Amino acid sequence: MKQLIEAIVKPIVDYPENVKVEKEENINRIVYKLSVHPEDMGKVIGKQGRVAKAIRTIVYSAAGSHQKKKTYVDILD
Amino acid sequence: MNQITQTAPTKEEAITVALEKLGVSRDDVSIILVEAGKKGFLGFGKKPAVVEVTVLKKEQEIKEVKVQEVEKVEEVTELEETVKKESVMEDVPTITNEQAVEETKSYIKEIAKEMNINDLVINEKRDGKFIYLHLNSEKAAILIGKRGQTLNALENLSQLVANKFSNSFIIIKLDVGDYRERRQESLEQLAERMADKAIRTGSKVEFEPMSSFERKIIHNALSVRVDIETYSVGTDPNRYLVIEPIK
Repeated sequence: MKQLIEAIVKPIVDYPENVKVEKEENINRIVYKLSVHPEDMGKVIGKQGRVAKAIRTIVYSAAGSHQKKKTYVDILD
Repeated sequence: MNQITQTAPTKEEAITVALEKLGVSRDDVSIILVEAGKKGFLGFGKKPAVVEVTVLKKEQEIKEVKVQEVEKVEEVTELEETVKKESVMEDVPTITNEQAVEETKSYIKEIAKEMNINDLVINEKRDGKFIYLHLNSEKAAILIGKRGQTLNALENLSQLVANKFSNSFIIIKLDVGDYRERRQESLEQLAERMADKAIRTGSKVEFEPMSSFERKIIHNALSVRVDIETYSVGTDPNRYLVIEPIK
């Protein structure tokens, strides 16, 4: 799942080496914390959060198919 | 030989429906316009278009029939010619866009791989600034998602990637299997049903929120009807369509 988020985010940012994904898991949910270079913040959020929404849609649909826990994607600033 | 006669409000619609029924592309058929439809005025003098579509198998047949229909198809070919001219003019930047398309394809493949889809096949078709990517896989359902959500998300993201590498603005259109086509069909049917419901109950009918593209399909499908009015309310992503009967 981590690789999926990286595969989605890296090609759309200017500093792919600064893309980091951390996984935080507890009993009923998994949170993936995405951090990018400050200049890339706008790129991963997008106009009206459109890109962020697209990233989440894909991650959720992939997560739904192979794990039961609720999955979230957080973008850290 | 396979031949059907199709009736629909417009010539174009009749042809599309007929092609769908026969399951062939436009290049493999000869189209004879039996009756040009009339839109009519305020519902008067409305006449549906009738076309006769024949599936061609032999080269010779194609030529023979084509001679007959040259006059009738003239309008269509003219349109096609202008489209071709446009793409020729834009050919210069597409040389560098090659890389953009390749990057986009590998981007989609990469994501699909992480979603456990390993048998993805991508076919591409270009038309000016539009790049049509046709995806095919056993697990197409995962790529489409609920009401095409995942597919639309992927389309948005790949467009970003494409334009990052391209020097001119390009638009990426994704399709999985024949999803878009089937969706359009079911939306058109839904539109008709909802329009009838609005007339029957005499009150407004509201749709659930949809993307601009899907709303456009419905607006288009109902534009021929004169007994109702369609418009959209709300702001994206919760913008939805309303049908109102005209009293």
